[in-house]
Amino acid sequence: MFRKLTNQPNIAITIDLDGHDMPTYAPNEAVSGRVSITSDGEVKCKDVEIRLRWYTAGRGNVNSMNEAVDILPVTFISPDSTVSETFRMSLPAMPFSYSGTLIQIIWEVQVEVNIQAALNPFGALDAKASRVFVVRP
Amino acid sequence: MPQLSSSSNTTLTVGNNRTSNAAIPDNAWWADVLRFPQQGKVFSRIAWRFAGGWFAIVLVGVLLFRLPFGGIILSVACLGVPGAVVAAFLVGGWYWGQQMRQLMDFPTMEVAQDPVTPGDALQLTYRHTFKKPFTLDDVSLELILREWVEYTEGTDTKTDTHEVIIDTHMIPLLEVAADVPLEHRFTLTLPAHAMPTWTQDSNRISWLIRLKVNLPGNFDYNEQFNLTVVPKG
Repeated sequence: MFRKLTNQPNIAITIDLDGHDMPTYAPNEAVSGRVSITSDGEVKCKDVEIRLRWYTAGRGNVNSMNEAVDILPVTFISPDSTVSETFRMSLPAMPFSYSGTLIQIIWEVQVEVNIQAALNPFGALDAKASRVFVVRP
Repeated sequence: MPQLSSSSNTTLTVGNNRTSNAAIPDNAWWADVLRFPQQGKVFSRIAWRFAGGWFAIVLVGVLLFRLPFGGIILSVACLGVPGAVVAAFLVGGWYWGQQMRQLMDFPTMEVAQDPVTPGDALQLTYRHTFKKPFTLDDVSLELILREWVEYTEGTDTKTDTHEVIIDTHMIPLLEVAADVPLEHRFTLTLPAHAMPTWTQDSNRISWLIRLKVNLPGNFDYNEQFNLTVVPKG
């Protein structure tokens, strides 16, 4: 029998975008919302990064760009509380969301909990989540 | 492919007037290959890739295997074949240019809007002078959205393109006299939610206007004009 060597906590990330059930934004508009992070175990982390980014999908190699990055000074996530932070970042003029035959351009808010391996002897991994939205004029 | 260039504050010339291009001397024997880029570049690109690869392989083979064993004649023959292929493609490109030069000058196209934005009805002027009288079966002008991607397959890097014809204008059955400039004004419409021109390393979205001239009894003549579309505001 194998013995479980790690005890990775499960981290859940929720991203809510303000006032948008169907998240569609115009170029240069601000994207704001709230990030909520919960864990079923103690997690010591370096920080939490919120990125406003686009990436390409389709036939070609992936191109991507972080258009805005917000770093939250979160260093500890306990199992009995929820880390909740707001964010607000502005979209650039380009590119728009696009869905073609060979190319797709996808916009998202991506949240990543950067976990310091040295502070987490049970080997917790970085946790990441994203929320896709549409940019069109 | 011709690039957009501003000729004045109000008129944007989608220029193909390479006769004034100082980088291409008028009397150079290779100038026609460059002046008719669609045809000449395709000739040149295929020729150089094909012959270059062949030449490299044969040269290595000759140096490693033939010369040490004294096969000079066979070695020269091996090197001569790719050389002949290069020469054939260059002569073909030059001949094509000469044929086209005897039939027509280089077309020009102007677009009134500057800059060009999504939703614009592009007012275009196409000018072309033919050196022989023709009854052109048709001349078509297409507004095209092109997707270009570069992708990796194994260790190879490949490219692919996909074109969508957004709008078309046809000039049916046209009589042209020798040395009398043909001038035709027309309109092509960019969709209101069109994606502006967008360029990344491996993914590009571009707009172009393609001219197709059906020359009876001759090769058809194709030309493409780049169109830079910028977002509104």
